[in-house]
Amino acid sequence: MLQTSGLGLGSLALACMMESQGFGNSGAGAGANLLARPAHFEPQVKSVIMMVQNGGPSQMDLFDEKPELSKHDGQRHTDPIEQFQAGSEAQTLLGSPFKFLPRGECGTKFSEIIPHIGSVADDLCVVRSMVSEHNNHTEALVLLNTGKVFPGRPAIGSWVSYGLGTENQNLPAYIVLRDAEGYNTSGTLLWQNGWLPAMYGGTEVATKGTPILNLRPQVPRPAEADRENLNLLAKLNRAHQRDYVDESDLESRIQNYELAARMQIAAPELLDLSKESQETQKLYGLDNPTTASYGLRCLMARRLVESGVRFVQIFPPVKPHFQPWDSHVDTKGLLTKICGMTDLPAAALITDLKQRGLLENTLVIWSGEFGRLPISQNGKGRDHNRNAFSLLLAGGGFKAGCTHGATDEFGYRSVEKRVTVQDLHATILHQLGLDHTRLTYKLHGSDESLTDARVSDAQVVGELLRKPVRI
Amino acid sequence: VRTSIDAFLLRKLEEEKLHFSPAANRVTLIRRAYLDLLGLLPTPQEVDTFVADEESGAWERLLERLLDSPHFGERWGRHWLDGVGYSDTLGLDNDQTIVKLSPGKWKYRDYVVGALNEDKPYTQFLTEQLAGDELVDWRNADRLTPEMRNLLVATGLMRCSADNTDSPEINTPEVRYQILHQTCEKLAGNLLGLTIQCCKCHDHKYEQLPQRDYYRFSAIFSGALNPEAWLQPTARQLPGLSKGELDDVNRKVEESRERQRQVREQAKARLIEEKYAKLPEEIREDVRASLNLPADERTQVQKQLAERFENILENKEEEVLSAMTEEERTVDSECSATIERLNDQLQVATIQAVYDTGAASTMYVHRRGNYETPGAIARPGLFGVISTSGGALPAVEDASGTTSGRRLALARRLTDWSTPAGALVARVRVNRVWQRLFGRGIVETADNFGTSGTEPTHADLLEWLAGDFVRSGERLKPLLKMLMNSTVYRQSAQSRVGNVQRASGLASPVSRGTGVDPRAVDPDNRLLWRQRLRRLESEIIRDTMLSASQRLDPTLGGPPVKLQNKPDGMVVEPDIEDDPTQRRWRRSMYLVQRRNYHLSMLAAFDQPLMVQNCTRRDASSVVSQSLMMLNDRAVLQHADDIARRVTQEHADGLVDKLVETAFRLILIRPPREEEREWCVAAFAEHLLVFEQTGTDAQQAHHQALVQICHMLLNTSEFLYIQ
Repeated sequence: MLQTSGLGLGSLALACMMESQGFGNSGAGAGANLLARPAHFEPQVKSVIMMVQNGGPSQMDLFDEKPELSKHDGQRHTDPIEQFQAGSEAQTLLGSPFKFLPRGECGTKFSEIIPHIGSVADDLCVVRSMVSEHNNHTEALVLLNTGKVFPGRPAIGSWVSYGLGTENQNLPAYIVLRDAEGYNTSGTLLWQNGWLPAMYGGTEVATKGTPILNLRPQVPRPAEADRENLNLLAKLNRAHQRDYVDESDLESRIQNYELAARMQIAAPELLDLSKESQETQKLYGLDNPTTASYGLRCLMARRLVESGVRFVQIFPPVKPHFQPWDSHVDTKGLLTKICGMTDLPAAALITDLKQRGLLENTLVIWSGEFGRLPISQNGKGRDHNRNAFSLLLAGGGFKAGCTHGATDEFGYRSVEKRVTVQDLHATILHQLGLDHTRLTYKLHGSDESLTDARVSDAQVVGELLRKPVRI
Repeated sequence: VRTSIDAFLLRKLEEEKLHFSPAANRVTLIRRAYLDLLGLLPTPQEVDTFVADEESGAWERLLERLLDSPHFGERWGRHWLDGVGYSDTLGLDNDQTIVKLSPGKWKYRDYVVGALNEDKPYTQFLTEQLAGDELVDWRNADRLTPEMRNLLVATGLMRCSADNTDSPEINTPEVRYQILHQTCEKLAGNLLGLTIQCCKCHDHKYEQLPQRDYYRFSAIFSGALNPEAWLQPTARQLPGLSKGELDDVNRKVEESRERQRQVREQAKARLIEEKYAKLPEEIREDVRASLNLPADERTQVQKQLAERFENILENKEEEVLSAMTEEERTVDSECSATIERLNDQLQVATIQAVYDTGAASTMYVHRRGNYETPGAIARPGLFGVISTSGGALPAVEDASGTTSGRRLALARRLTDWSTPAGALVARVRVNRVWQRLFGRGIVETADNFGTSGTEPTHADLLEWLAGDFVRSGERLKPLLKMLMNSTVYRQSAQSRVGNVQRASGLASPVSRGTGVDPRAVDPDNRLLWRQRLRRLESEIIRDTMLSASQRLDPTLGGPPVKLQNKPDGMVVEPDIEDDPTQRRWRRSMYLVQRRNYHLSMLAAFDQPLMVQNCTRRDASSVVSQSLMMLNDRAVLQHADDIARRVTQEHADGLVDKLVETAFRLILIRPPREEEREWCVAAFAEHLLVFEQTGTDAQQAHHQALVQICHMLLNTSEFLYIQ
């Protein structure tokens, strides 16, 4: 297990190394580091796991039952609908092919297609009144991850790492777990550090093969040669450094080589699941080829937060499609497939965190970038919808076994207690003890922030929280 | 004090009782000059010649020679391309595996390189890029002359914003306005040092930039990038060929297609006959008759036959190809090759130009930045804060008299050095040049000269430099020569503790006579009491490795080299089999320039995400850089190549000779005594290690040398300009 003290021999060395330098020291952000630092006020959570669901999960087929829509299935819809692609011209209402069932003691209704998520209903806060700003995947995904629709700004994980540092100096503060087969829609745009120092960017940790890129020589050489090499390099670099005593970059560069060597020992332990029990592995579906890949990422996420990583993002499968929730053609077929791959592991993560008492100080978010339309596209599919989507929150001081907000009778538009992406971000930061209006970074003379509240009017959504809002 | 600029700097230094550091030694200087002007390393012979040149003016002669090199345009062109936000891709470029190139875009990159090599005066350079299309009457020309072509290519400056409007669902007014606005914001930041982004929605909070000015500036470009009469990228690009040439190419493509169709039909007909021949004779003709009938005219029996034997007519392309005779196959592949070549020809000729596509539509101020809530009319004009006439920009008659002439008017105003706008343009330009040579601008916020930007460290120097630039012909090369000739540029970058002096003979920077420690007075070196240590940009790290190994392909220009995307996220140079012409070892600026998903080697060293533009590169120091330099396949290849080169020069193989040569190829200097000893000892250890692992003696010797070369590439010294 990845306890703070538990990475084996390598980790001790790593810990020393990363203490002051973190995952590197940026020239641009002199003084920047990854040491844990006090929040603005008492935090409710230590870590965040964000399960990004690229493609736009269909709210009315998963979390937001619409009896009126089923009743009028196949009928022509006369109200104006904002469409994105061609294929929905018939304006025909499409009822969900799935049944909804009350789950847990709370009785919140979930689609039959996500029985395992339904089984943790009492731990979930379902927000049914989300709104996005854009109908295209990239812009909406960039919004969900960075607070604005245009790419280039720091991701929320970068902001959190910048604001709080991280508990475990053995590992990067912000880790991205994606499908080893490739990138989802918009790939690396979603975990950029933007103009924050490079150390705050998301680090991809692979769940297969070598966990970190270039950890091993791509042309093999004897380990003794490596040792001799680093020995020589250190001497050469120290000699060079004598002439440039004021250059902190040179010192961090020397230390980075020492760190690199230790990572070669420590990082592979990240992938070592031998300490995980058979039951745990089964819980995450590692015994089933359909769920194993996503299950492994979910299990890794738990191991990472358990060991003090601040922010973890899990990305969905890239096959059969790299935006797996994008059900333009066949709602039933596509959702059956993607839910079959992700439902069990996602629920397992919540169950497992709870069993271990970690759900109290971990916030789990399950969210896509937008929702889908109530009218049909290409017969049985649905087009993009920025006017309404649903998401799940668990743990982290959020209310549980509840729902928040509502869409109109057909699920087209969020109408009650609307929540913007920036409101969501403000609320996540709040649970981490950060005031979104005070977590700022000076850029070209002006104070930039994740939520840019002056423009977005972002507000912490107090109704979602168990304790009163502090700002 | 060698130049006027030294006097400006020295005055401030002396106020703090400080002084310049001593000049750097000759070897450091030649490396600095090569890296700053060419981004390449000198050869050992070039170093020796310069170090031994005792005649006066050796340094000036070196600078002149480098400024005349065609690689100068590449090095300084890359800086310019950063500022304009150049990318070879068309759209936002969001997905790793989907690469949509903008055909012919690279010609703008080559225009920039050429213009800098020619040292075009800044007025001409800017005017061509802002309004090249308005300088010549290309619309009514029978044939595009090379000059016309060049001027149209130059307008590629305004085609650098991500344009996704080729997808119908993204071709919305919102996105079109965004492309126009991004283009304007980049120009304002890059050329004028004005951050205008805020004014899209409201008056600027800190600057005298009302929201109206944002839309007035946008209106200048609304004839060319007109959101109300938008052209999708393919419709906007120009074929770059005359009508006659274009018809000719298209006719040839058609001919080849037809010829290919014919041979394929021929082979297919034979294939079908072969299949019929395999049927039992008694049903053969019945089947043929059934299949030849349209489906709805078949009898019940014929329908069954047709269904049973429909595969006779369904022949996959592979089947048809394999049924071809040798002769047919030759024709077929000839046709394919011709079609591909002609299509390439069209792609290569394509110009990504900006020109007025029709009458400019009326521009309105967008309330809260929303195009759906238009406010007052915004007439084309420059920002009031840098105008004497309130910003009005009377259109200039363009060459053909048919387009708005608004951009030409803008170019004229921006290069009228007697106006506030012109003066600002000159200041921004010289500040950027200063930033490249000294690591930090006189105004550190290179794209923000407003009140929210940083104060200039030497305001009087900036004024003087801008004035001198304009007075002496607005040319970059003389400016560089003057700056690099100064004492401030030539001083050492070293800083040592106390008075410790090294055997190398350089004096410590502690100010002579005054006893003041500059490290205490000015720890950030804002006053430039020493030159700044600067980390190399990503491309230059790769290019210098290639120049040390002599693998570098010095070819200038041309279509970008495509890269290979791996599932693990690595982006690498193409494999040998995919790259028969060995283009993978071109300079980094010729690798395909995406907005994201750069060559991993470059990405690790802060190659910027080109969503907008980049006026100042980051120089981070993160562990992924160490891992890259230690383990990346290409870096290992470079080390191997350098080791071979070293061995070639020393067939006798004396280890300390090998070490010395490796030093001279990579760090361009001989090793100091302690360094030589460390390397010789490490070499011996490696030899043992490799021999123990069963490598034969010759190979072990080579591998030991590879390790030494590899570590020299990993040194801080290699990564920085001292």
